[in-house]
Amino acid sequence: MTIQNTLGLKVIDKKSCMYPKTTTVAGVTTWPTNKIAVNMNDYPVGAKGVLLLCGANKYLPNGTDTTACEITMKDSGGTTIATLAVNQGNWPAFDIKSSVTPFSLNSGLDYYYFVTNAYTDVVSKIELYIVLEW
Amino acid sequence: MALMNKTGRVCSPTMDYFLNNVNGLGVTATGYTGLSSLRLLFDAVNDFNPGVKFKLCVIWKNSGTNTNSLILRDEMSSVNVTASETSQTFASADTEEVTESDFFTLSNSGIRRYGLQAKVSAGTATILSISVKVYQAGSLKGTILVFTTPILNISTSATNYLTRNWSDTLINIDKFPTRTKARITVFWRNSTLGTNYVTLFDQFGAAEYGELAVAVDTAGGYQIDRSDFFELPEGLTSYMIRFKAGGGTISIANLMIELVLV
Repeated sequence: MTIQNTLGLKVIDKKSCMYPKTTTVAGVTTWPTNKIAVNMNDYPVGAKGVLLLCGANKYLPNGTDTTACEITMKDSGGTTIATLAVNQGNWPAFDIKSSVTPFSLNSGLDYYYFVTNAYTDVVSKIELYIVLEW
Repeated sequence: MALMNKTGRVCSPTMDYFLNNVNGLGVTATGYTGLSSLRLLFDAVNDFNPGVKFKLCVIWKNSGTNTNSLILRDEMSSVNVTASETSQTFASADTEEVTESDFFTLSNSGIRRYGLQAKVSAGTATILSISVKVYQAGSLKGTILVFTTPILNISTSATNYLTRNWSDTLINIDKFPTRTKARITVFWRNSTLGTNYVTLFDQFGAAEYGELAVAVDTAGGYQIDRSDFFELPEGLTSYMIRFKAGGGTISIANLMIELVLV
């Protein structure tokens, strides 16, 4: 049975982080109550993560904040795992983007949370795909 | 091709509850109490490979050094699944822990509605995330990736599709195996014998996929319905769910979208 796709990746799990969520302070902001638990022992050796982001910057293009909507994924210890930005989507016209290169996650059971980078970021949705590379 | 992990089973999929339904949810009851609006719709026997097992996974904390407990509930029979019970005693107050249950099985056939209940020994539990994890042995043939939407307790008598101004889910179908299709399962009712409609649209409402139209069986009675499989467009797309009524007032308690290798 052929279960490969054309991109050399196959999604074996999909974890969601739902918002909508708007940052409320300037600079880097943590959303402490939005977390995703992952146990890499659940997956075959070689499984990695891919992030998908739907977001916007509320005051673009005419506002004062010209920073792209960007999220950083951190593990429970605060170590950065991955970063992903959308193309300065102008709220409410959300932009969507997927990380290009799969990234490694911590072994065993851990949880991950997300940090944004700008006062006006509006994040509608974050997806974490667990993928296998072929 | 070996796709097994250390336990001989592959976790796929995870039926995540969207975290905005869960985050900060406080529990102070010392006897099991329902976590409102946290429900899943699936057929534990026929939706997955034979021998499927499940686990609960939860991120939570307690205001003191107390014990939190979580359990799955079959709401169709109003019975807690005792083997699903998972507990965590916290060594430190207000310190988050991630906890998994042991494997458990579900034996009821047919699409059923599952909920969750929680309790504490003392203090206040704060629940940040809950997942129901599905473990299937062998290959990933027939894998179903299931995820819930935040569509909960919505009622409408609108005969045109309601617009939602934020996305429900992001899917890049290119990253899934070929022949992956989608389907919708919904738990809803109508105040009359009208027809309920639900459709998956893209984020801009420009394209629609997989409309499910159902004439309800009993006025005012909730029922579970499931769409046929339908294809999704290539590439990364943001989707939203929209509802309309063909008459009467429809109420939607829960909805799930599944991606299935058919």
